[in-house]
Amino acid sequence: MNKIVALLALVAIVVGNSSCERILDFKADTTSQIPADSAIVTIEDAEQLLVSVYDVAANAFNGRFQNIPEVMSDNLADPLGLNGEYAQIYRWTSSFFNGSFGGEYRDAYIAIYRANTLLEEVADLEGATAESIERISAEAKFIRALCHYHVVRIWALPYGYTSDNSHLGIPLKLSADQTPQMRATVADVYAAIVSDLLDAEADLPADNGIFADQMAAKGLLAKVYLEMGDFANAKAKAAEVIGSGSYSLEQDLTKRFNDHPNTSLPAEFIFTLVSTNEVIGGDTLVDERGSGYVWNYRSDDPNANPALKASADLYVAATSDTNDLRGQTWYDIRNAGSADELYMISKFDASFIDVPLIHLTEMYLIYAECNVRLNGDADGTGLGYINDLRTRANVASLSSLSVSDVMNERRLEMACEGDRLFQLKRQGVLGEIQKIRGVDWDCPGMVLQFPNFEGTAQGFIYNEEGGCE
Amino acid sequence: MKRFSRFLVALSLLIGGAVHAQSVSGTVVDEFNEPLPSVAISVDKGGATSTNFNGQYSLSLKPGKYAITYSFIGYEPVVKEVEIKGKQIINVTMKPASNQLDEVVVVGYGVARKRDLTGSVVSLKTKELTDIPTPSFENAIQGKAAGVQVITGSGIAGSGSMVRVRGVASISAGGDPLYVVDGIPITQDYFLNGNRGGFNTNPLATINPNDIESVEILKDAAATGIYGSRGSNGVVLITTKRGKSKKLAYNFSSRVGFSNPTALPNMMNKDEYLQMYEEAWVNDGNVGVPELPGNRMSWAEAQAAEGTDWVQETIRQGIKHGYDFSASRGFKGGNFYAGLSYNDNHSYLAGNSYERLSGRINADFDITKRFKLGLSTSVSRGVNNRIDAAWSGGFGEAMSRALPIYPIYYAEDEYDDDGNLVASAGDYWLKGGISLNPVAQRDMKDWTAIEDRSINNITLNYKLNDNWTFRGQGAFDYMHFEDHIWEKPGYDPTYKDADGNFLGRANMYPYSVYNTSGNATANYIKDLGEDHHINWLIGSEYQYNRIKRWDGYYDSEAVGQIRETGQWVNDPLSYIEEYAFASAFTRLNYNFKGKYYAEALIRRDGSSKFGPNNKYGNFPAASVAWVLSDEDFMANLPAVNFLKLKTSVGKNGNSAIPSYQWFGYYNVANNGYGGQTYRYPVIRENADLRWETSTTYDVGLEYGLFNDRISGELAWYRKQTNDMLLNVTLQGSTGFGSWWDNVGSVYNTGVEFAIKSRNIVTDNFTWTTDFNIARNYNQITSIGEYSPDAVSGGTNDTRVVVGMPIGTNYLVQFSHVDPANGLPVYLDKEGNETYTWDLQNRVAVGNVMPDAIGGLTNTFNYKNWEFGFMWVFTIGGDIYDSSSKRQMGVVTDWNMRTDLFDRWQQPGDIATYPRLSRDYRTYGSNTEWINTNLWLHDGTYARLRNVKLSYRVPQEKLTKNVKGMTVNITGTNLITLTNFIGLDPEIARDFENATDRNMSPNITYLTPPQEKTYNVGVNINF
Repeated sequence: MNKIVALLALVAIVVGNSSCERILDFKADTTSQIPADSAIVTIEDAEQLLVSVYDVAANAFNGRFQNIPEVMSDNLADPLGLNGEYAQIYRWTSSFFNGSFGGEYRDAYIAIYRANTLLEEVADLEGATAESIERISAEAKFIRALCHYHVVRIWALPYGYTSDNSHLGIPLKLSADQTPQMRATVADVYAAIVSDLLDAEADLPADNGIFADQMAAKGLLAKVYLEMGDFANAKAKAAEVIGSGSYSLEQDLTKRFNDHPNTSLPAEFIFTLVSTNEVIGGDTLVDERGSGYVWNYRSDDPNANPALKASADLYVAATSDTNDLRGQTWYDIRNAGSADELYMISKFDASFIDVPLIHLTEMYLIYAECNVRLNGDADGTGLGYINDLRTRANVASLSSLSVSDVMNERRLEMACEGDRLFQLKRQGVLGEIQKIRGVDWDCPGMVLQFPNFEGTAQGFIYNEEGGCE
Repeated sequence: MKRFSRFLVALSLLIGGAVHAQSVSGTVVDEFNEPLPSVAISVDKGGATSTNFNGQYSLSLKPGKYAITYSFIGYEPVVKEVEIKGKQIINVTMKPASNQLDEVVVVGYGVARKRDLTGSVVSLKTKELTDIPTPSFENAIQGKAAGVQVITGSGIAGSGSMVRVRGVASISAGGDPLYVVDGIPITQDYFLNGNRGGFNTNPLATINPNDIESVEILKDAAATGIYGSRGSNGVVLITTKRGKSKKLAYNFSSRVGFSNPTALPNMMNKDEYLQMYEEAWVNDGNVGVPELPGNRMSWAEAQAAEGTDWVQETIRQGIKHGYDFSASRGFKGGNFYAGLSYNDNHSYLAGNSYERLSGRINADFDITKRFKLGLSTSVSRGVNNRIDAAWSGGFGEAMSRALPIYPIYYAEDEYDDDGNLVASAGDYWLKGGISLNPVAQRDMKDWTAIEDRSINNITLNYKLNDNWTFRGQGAFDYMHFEDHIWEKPGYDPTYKDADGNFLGRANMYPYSVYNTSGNATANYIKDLGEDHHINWLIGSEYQYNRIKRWDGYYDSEAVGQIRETGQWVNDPLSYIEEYAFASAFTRLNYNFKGKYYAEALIRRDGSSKFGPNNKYGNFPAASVAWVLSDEDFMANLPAVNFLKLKTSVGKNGNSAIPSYQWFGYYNVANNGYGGQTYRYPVIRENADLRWETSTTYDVGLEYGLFNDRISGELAWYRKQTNDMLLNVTLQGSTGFGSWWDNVGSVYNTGVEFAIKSRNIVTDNFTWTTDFNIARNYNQITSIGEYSPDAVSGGTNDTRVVVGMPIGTNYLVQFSHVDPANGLPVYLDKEGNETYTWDLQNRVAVGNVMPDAIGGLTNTFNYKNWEFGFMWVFTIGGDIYDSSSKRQMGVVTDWNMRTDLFDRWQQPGDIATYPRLSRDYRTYGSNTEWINTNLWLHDGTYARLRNVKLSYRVPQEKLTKNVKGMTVNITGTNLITLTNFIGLDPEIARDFENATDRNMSPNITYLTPPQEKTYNVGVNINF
């Protein structure tokens, strides 16, 4: 009988062993980690998640994102050497193992994922108010639109490449759902971007500190409409921003990319990703948000050999008028007259630069171009804005305005800000140019290849490879 | 329940009651007349016992005829047929087993006669494990167990082997078998120290092969099923030695040898290099004096340079020596074994050695007649004097960036542009940094990895009666590892103090693993009548594993203290990783007349590694066996003395993944954007994460012919693995990097054949041949909704492709060199020729898994002489010589191999390699790293793994105190037959992670070849 009891006891131990949850419950032991299901509970949690949306976006837009299209355009010299990713995209031969640009791509979608999480969860959180729900949702949509917009411009052929924009765009992520996503059409991507920005424009506060406000949404809408060839709306949005009176041209060109000011940002910045360099609670917090620019361009050390330098073409355009302050301020010639003459870009010669993603200068340029295209700048308002810029640059005013005048001005004003390639492609769509640096504006290498991790979903369609030569 | 107990009582009365029993007693001794304790004694008509420490036993039997069987591990069972009339003394002498089928082998949670097995088990004994000088026991398995692939690691001292049982069924989860030492699953993670320096630390290296009594490899579901969730890649059971002899017995053995690499790289010398470099320069249309890589030297300086043979500078003749001493005996009420071992292996790589000091004590005590206590404890220390290897430097650098034009030392004082002295004549030449001068790197970096390991267990055995035995076991397996790296001042020339003096840098990377486990089993053995035999096991097990790691890096301020004391200056951050398994299992064996066997088992496992929705899994297995040779209808086939047919089906799991992977979490951090606190998701939760499960069917036929002159086994199996654990690269647009998911399926199927033939058996001369061959094929049948790029090995050169085997080389096809212009011609996906190298044209062109593997051993004994040699072979399978894409591709900052002499030079040349160029665009590429099947080679090889000649000194020549003495000479890897143009065709490179280890064997990247060794040894018993 004892045997039976012993046996039963043993069985009890055995069964007890294997059904005890506690002894199998281990989680990573760190106080900074919070289980996903309890991480976003209160509206304060959502505010912290929102900071992380800006945080990751600021990482991507610290210059790294802007440098990609700039290298592909006609503004820069061949990055030295045969290797390196910048050299590959300079030659329009990016492949899907192109790791470092995968980082920018991924960062954009991380920001989008977090924005989507906010959009789905914010309404149900403890302490949520109508104001906070509205504002957080609007900011999330703003960043979601900003990231989709930048990705679609780099990884897909431009808006207008096909008449109905049915050509392939990028994965369009409008929910935090994790199922694999194929590429949406360019039409769908732009429709979503505009829709997000219109919502953001409606709900963003007029003033929102270092975060996106209503004018940021209007400014970005102006850029998007211009990209879409919707000149009327682009002009209208640019006009709203200009007319708000909140912004004025910064006359000191060195302040476009300046050491992070301890006082306030230049009055022409509409949406800026800021660096931090200040004392908080006794500790100095140093947070560089412009290092993608600084590390690749900075040339104030006489021995500096930055990866990215101006092309002769850009240098000549910027300095042919020796009075032009833009040429004087932002460029620096080395080995002048010799065979290995180099054109340094000194626009980013600072440590903790803030990155203005949308500024008044660009609104002037958008307005002026649209006004020319819509009505030949009949009222001369476009000319006025262009001459404001020219005056600031210490060059003579123009007496009349053409599209190419605006495009030239735009190239000089926004050199190395990641703008040039998209303007050229836009002109390609409009039939105004055919070539970029001697090759067809729409050859395969003019869009960046998707990183290989995007193709981990079966059926994903990559861009055509094969370069441009 | 009541009825059952009444039945039991009645039964026990029947057996133990009224009849007048007679006593049978005796002593069992071994071939040296030494008493054998713990010999299992069973009586055909019921009843069993075992011998005590004096080899004595007694049985109570009714008068009648009986067959009494005496069995003991490693000995041939003895059957005595007796007629009992009164008290009787039966003394038995047992001989070491020559018949494998009657051996007793270790199985999960018990032992069994090999004859009685329904599963597939290979058993290897001490002699087979120590006949080849290997630092780590698993190397010795190679070629000896059908269907067990062992790829010996590189020539770096202390490197481990890769063991694959019946193919590989895992992709991201560990594909190694489960290692169990004396009943305890031990720590066996190859990636605890990552891949630092191009080397994975071998967790098995601290186990002394000389302490091992036997190794059993469990191959099929019937055998591995009892290990449930961890058995799907096979199980290796390691049993350590215990005392047997009644008298105190000592054993001393020693081995001394030297080693050389099995192959040397054919790197270009200075003149060859310059000639080829210049040719590339001219081919590219350059004019004038060529510019050398990095402009560290002018062309004229390079031409005037003496030139350095960096390969010779990084190798030497290896020296190894080892000493083992053990003492053992049985004593009244128990036995003990104590072993002490020292092994020092200086590999052929200059500066590299692995030293192991280990001790073991195993003891058993009979506390009462029924209650036994067993203790095992081992302590070992492995000291690895490390060097950088492969991609990290040293010999790897000698095959790559250390150009033959570079000197080791400055010949003259060196000044910078401003006229300041930067280096004096005789200083190391460090113009290209430390890594371009492997001699300087080795000399200026002290690197020692110390691993302490202690495996301990305590076993309590309570034999309630003839039927019931209860057993409890507790174990503690402790490992502490420290990597100490000291870079001397000047190692990093940019690292200086304010006065410009060079500073050194100390780094220390420690971790500890605490692996505790316990199990309890109850075993019920019962014979129902004469024909029905039941053996029922029920048990439970719990294992808790804790890994503690410390942040490693230390800067110069701490140098003094770390260097002098090995202590931290400040407590660095530490991290804990934990996991646990809780399990219950039961197994029922039944045999009818020793002819028909059936086994059913089930194990239920719970693991902390899996998501709350799937924390527990059930793993059943069933098997049957039929000894045909005992059937009457076989009587007219007298040549067949044994024939057993067996088949099994069962489900196993694999759970070898890192902890916490199901767990989704957010991080909170301060000072984010705008100085604000922020939180963000880091890992997606996967609450469904569950075991990878394999369902295995197999059929086996064991045979013995001509009275076991020929014996062996033939087997077929098919293993279907579903819910594979994959560390999947997520689509970037999900906003996450990667996660663990259960995805897709793979199957492995194969046949195995083993034969042992005692060709000649005479009194003075015997010749025995062992041969085995196994073919395995595996195929991935699904990877869910992911694409091949979702799972990449760390080296990126093999892919997961549906319809193809694991480890498929997924490459652009190289067709030929165009004789007209010397350009490489590739094939696109449709097979059309193209000059453009495009990753989108990658196709499955090969795979790293061999078609067949095997071994052939011949052993000759003549009087006191024994001569044996073993060939191992691999048929098929591809080798991807990954580093050759830089050694023989675009001319870069790497040295080149002389194979490249066969390159295109002028129109009309039919050449293997294209025209030389420094510009990858010449080759139609957008990158200099051009993976094509030009670097893919047939992996077939045969290797003379071991040759051994030994001589047993005749007893009469020995003094009285010496019981036996053997001297031997051995050589390993003396001959390798292969068409592979690279170094060693047997490749287990350094791996980044388990995925890499599963998918990228046979990928070589500057991997040092294995060593060829010559050894002299002596073994003395006294």
